[in-house]
Amino acid sequence: MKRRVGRKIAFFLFFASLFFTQLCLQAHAAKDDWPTKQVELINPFGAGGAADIQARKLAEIISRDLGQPMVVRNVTGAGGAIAYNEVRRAKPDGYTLIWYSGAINTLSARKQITFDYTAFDHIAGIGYETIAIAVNKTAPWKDFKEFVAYIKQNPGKVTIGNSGMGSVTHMVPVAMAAKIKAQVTHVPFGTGLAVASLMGGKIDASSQHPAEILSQVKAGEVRVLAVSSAKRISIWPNVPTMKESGVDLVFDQWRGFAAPKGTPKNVIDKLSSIVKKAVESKEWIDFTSSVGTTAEYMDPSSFLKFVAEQDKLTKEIMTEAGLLK
Amino acid sequence: MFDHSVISSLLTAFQPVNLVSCFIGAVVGTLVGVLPGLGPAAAMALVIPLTLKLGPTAGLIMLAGIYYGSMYGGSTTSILVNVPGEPASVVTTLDGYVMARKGRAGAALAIAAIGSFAAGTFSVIALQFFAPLLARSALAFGPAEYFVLTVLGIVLLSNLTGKSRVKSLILMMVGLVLSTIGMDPVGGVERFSFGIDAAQGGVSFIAITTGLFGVAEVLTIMAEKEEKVELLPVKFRELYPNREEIKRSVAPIVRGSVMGFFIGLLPGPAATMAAFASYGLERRISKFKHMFGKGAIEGVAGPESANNAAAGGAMIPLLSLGLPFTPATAVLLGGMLLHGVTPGPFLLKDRPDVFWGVIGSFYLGNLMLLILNLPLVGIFAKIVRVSPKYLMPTVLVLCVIGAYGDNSSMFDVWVMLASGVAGFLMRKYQYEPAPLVVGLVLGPVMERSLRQTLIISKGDISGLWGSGICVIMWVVVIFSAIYPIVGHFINRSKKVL
Repeated sequence: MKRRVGRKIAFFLFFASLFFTQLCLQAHAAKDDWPTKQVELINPFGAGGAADIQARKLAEIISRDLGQPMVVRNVTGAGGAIAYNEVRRAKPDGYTLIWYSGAINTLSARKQITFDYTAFDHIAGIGYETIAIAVNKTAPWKDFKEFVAYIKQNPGKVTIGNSGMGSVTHMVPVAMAAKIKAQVTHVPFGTGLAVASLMGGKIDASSQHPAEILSQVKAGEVRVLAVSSAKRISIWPNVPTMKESGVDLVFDQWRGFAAPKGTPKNVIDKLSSIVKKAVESKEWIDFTSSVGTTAEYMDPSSFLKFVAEQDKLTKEIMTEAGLLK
Repeated sequence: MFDHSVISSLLTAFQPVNLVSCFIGAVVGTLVGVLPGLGPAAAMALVIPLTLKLGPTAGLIMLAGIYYGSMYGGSTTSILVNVPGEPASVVTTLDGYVMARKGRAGAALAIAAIGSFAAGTFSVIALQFFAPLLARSALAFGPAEYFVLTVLGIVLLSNLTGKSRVKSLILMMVGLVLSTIGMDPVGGVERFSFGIDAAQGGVSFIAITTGLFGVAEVLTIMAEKEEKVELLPVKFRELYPNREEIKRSVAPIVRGSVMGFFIGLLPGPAATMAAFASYGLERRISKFKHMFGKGAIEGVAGPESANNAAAGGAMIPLLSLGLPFTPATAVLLGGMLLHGVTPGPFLLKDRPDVFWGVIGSFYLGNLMLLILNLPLVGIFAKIVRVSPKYLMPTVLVLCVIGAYGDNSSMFDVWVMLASGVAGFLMRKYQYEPAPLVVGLVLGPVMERSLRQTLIISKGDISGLWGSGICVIMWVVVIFSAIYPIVGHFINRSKKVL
């Protein structure tokens, strides 16, 4: 009796683990009438962050028209290099996509990956996400102009937190300092942790996406001095852009979809039109504006052109700041 | 605080849809905890799309259920087969697994469940009454304070198991060195990856721990003679803790709850650190010091309470400031934003229904988990009676799945197997692997906070003791480092006299 129970449990565990393994492994079957199985969207960013929330929400809307689920999988580490490597090596059959963003530009500029944007087929651009420069509620600077003036008078003294070296939240303060020809001290944190240090008065300012600081702004704990986009964003109509405040800088995080080079054109076109419908849906626009992002669809060719321009711009900023090896 | 509307809001947790969501969350959470490799953050991210159809209150109740439910399940595989289900349960293997091999698996599992319940409930009460106050104090901790805290952790936990201090220190250093593999967290430079892509992200914590504990155990049992592994038959009555075991667990549960809760307020691997800290404390002050590592119930009761309390504590910065300090609370924040709920100081004012509904579900969910877990104890405890020739291959399969599932990377599986062999050799030569894990957990936090502090102070080393909190903690560090040496000296001079 004792033995039989043991054997039953062993068998149960064995089959349970087999089942689980099956779930983990992906079946390989490429057909013409794409998609015949779930489409995987590889997200280089961690679960729960601003990029991840958007990927999941958009994937959900897209799945409705796709006929198959679009599943988000987080492949984190090495600033996104691992995810980009994985997708580049994936079969170009339209079943493995990358949640594409400015990381491709910074990673290739810093040679953290051995390829650049040309290794991917561009499917669709979906919009921009601005960078907000925030200070503690007790900070002496009334607006961005005063902040910039203070930086100029006290070179290297002002500390600005970002979410990691080489990230867009790091690039914006770097570019800003280069434009005003003054020094600031960059302090890399993980996502979200810069805000805590800002509120605790450990750093002077922090640089992040609006979603990461929404509730703290609403509570009056921190003030946003400027955003890096070309236009003001709808949730903060009173926050000026950097350009309005006299710093000639427009630099945003951009997002979109891409697939490994060699993906069939019919797959790209079909997906691009589904993405267009999702990005222009009221549900998506309402959601993105509530977290401070701007929805804007770009077709494959204009998206490729846009990414190429961003690539050039990123390299310029990084060279100017001495960030390239 | 306790007016009518609050009570009625707390009771929204009892509405059928919320009740069911809470139950599903608790069950899924328990499973996530039991399975190594699948952590709460990944599981919650998978479930988020499903919760969107439930509406904010029920959806967030389900997500929160997975979050604290996983803290219950984590101890199960630690105790039964020496494979930590969650990083926070690594320390539970030290005494829990020994208890299981002595036929007290049921007692260890039951005490873990009871401790988790007590700690979970304690942390919700603290959350309900003191959240805004505590959240403020968490902000006093910046990079400099974290750095001193990690130094304190290294000093206090360097002799975690109380065996050889030198061996412990060596392994802690090995852990610190291993933690530097991969992309440097501050400068973005690749280190020790030897051109292997998969190593860019560092070595997986899950792979190392399943290897050092689980695979090493399988190898050890393989190397033993068959008759040694025969286990004593267990009567049903003996599945549950006896009076003495319960009595000995009360104080560790209370201490673990309080300490875990406060550690939970801080960023970083709070639940794991809380469990280690509680184990270190219990071993130091217990009346049964000699029993630690040989199946002391205190070594299960304390850490298992501490990691649950820490999970509750980590909710405070999220709910009252909107700041996620751990990967799992970051996913919860993401879930809230998707539901159109913004956590932070305005949550209570804007959406009292959501706030109190979720708090209410914490009480309820913890109770459900206790009721769910106690009968499971009987079933799980029988697993240790399965003959090793069936059980051990299954454990190995479980380890491989866990290591692979964490990042879907074969590299991690190789790391796990290599750690398994290393763990086997370490046991043969009496090196306890737990300090290595402490080094591995503390390493990245320590490095990042040290470098952040020095960047902020522009390279001036006095930045490391720039605040009152820092100075106080440095004094504790110095005292803790010197005390064992002085104590040793005093003891010796006493003997001479």
